[in-house]
Amino acid sequence: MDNRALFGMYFPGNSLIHRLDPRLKMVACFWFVVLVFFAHGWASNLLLIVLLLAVIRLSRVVFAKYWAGVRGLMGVILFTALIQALFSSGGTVYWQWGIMAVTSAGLVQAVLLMLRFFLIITGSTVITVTTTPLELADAIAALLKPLKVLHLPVNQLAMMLSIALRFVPTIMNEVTMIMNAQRARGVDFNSGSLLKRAKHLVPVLIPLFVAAFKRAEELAVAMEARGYDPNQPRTKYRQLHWQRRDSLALAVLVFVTLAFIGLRIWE
Amino acid sequence: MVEPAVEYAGLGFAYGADRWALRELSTTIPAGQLTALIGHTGSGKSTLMELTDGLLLPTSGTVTVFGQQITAATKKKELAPLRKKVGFVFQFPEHQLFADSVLADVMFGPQNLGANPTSAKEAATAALTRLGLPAALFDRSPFELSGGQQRRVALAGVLAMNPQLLILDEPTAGLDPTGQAELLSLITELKAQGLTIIMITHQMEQVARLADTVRVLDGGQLVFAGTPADLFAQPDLLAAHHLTPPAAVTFAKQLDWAAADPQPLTAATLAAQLAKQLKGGTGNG
Ligand SMILES: Nc1ncnc2c1ncn2[C@@H]1O[C@H](COP(=O)(O)OP(=O)(O)OP(=O)(O)O)[C@@H](O)[C@H]1O
Ligand SMILES: [Mg+2]
Repeated sequence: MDNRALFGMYFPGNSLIHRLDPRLKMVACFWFVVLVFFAHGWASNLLLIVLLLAVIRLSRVVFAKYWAGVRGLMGVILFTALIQALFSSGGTVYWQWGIMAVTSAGLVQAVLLMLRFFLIITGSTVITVTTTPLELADAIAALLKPLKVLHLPVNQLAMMLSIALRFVPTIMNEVTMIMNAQRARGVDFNSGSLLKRAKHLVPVLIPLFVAAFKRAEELAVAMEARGYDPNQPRTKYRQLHWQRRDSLALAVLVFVTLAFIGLRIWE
Repeated sequence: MVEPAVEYAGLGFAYGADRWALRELSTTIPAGQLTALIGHTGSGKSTLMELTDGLLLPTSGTVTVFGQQITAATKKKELAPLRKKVGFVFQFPEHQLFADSVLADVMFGPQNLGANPTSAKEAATAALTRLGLPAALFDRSPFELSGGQQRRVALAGVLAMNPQLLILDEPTAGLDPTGQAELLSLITELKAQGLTIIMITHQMEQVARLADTVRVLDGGQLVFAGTPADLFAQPDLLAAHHLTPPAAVTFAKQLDWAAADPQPLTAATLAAQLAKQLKGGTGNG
């Protein structure tokens, strides 16, 4: 079992996007989300769509991967858009019933909202699809570093993050195993009232916690036995190196941002 | 011919789109006997057993357990009677303990099958006694027991459901030698009481000592079905499937002891035969 099975996301590859520095990818993704929130007109949205499509193209990942991310949240997206469409006012009224009304402004709003969802979800999917969880953890740790001046235990946080990542697949495996064992003892997880189903979680969660605590203790002992000191500065095996392509990507991002601001003023 | 407890016919199973764990597997498991299921790691043993307990449904082919047929189209609801007949003891079964007391944990299975508290308690007490757990431990938390005791409680939790077929996935893994020996003699007793048992194991000594028949898997396919004696008489077959014969077999072979009849499979028979020969003074080794 590897992390891929859990996140179900990472798509191995060697494209330009895969090779970009994960720190840059994270910052860029965050920046992209900010831009999405500032995009109100068609032109600025179109710019973001083009940017996203270009990145998707460059990542050489099958489109189905991205679509899978959106599909999972389709229910929420459609529901929110429906509310937006029914309860906004302004423009031509097409249909009215009580406080509900379908208006031209409402429809525009709903479409924009859906677009925003698509952009944000797909934008973040680019990261999870092209970056291994380990790289992501390294990037988060690196980006947190400046917070050291605020006396935040950055090293410890980074260690916690990488341990958590390491054990998520193990624990997922364990859940499957315990659930199977309890199913073999006659538990039917898929039927019964809500209360009954909640009750069925007890024979899964208790063994899971027992195992997790035991494992935590063992790991702590093993780490201390090998001289781990949380307060010492740590060197890293995997180093992140800023490359020319990263500077290039950053420049592209700056240009897109400038264009975006230009479009916003023009709109 | 003994009536089969389980029959696999053209059985195939794939985890997800093209990850076949089992292919075209056909064999039977005789009732009232102990069948050892062996094979290299990843050969599909656990998968086959999960199919036998209806925890997985076949991708192709059928599994027939005591007359009940399971196919890809079997509904989840139809599996309840199957679970009553099959008891599955997973690898490291102590990981499934959760209740506040030993007794409550063992009662969990029977209660899930619809037994009322009184009869569940009876079944639980009987199972715990059968496994030789002292009554003083019944009200203790299962987490306060030793590893070997925990494993017995977990085993009791399955036996209390009164299965006709007992599946054991590497039952002695992680136990100390005494605990292993105790568990193995328990298994022998259970077999003597008429239970059909399928045991997954990596230890050929156990196969030699306990098994009536053996099934060998490799790469998701059945590569041998027969008696332990037949299997261990074929060193090439063993080597081809990454299996090592029991020490007694290797030893007898190193003695170039063709005269030994029957071929000794366990250290005990080997010692007895050697002693006899040495006393008789006709050894050729
Ligand atoms: N949940 C799963 N998802 C995907 N593949 C799996 C899963 N479980 C098992 N497999 C694969 O199916 C094959 C058979 O696995 P199985 O667990 O049945 O082997 P095994 O014979 O029990 O091995 P072991 O002796 O190590 O317990 C292996 O190649 C394994 O990688
Ligand atoms: Mg296994």
